[in-house]
Amino acid sequence: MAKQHREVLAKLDPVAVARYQISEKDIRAIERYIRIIQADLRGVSIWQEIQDFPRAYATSLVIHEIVEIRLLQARGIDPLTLDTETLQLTLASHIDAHIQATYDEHSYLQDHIAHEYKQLFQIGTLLKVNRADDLETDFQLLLESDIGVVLVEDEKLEDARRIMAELKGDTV
Amino acid sequence: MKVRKLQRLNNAQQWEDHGYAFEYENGQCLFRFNTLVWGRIGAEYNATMKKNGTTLEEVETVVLIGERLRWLDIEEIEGDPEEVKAELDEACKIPKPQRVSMAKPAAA
Repeated sequence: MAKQHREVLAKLDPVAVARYQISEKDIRAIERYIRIIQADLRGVSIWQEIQDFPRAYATSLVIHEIVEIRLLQARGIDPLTLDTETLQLTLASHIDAHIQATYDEHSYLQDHIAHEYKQLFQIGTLLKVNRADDLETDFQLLLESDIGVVLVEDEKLEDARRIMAELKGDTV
Repeated sequence: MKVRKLQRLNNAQQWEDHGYAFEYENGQCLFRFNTLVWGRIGAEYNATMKKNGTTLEEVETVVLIGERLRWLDIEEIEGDPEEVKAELDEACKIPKPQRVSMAKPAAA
């Protein structure tokens, strides 16, 4: 298991690893955290995706989880000791942690894409294509929060969608 | 509105509403989930259902669940669809968009 965690850490974007000071212990915590919150799900899990997706996209997922975990810990909550139901209720009471995590996840993607593809997208644009979901749950949560102005560039959605697919390793 | 509820066995060993799938008038089926639990996985399931034209009857073939979750049979709920969804969201404890004061970022 430790090897698995080391491998995940090794494949992450070193810029993000340095910025968020992500350690092997953090990766272990992320795996545990996801196993608790998604205990009732079958099929693919976020942990599986972190292992399977290419570097940049996997890094964005790790950032989301570690930001969420650290915000809870900063409030005296140890999410790794909670059961699934209690963790879900706790997160609902600290929904800003999820929103901040979503913001950081897409802020990283924004920086990465700007650097690698020389294209700048608004975080709202990236979130819209990254949660390919007509219900737009995370987008609406971000929109209503006071995290800042969330803009969507309709004319750039197709480009953003194509780049996001590349980051996920989609060949189509 | 045609709905299929997803229930979870809670710590008190009672089944409680956890999410649901519903059908639009055009037949498109959507999974309404708690993003704090399902996150991008739930969104991906919706994208898959849209792409494949998954029906309410078939939803469990896409949204895979463990033994502490169960899909109920399809039911028809009378009333304004938006009001029905709002009531189901409440029952499923699905977080609704609201003005939220943000914490400080956790980056080092």
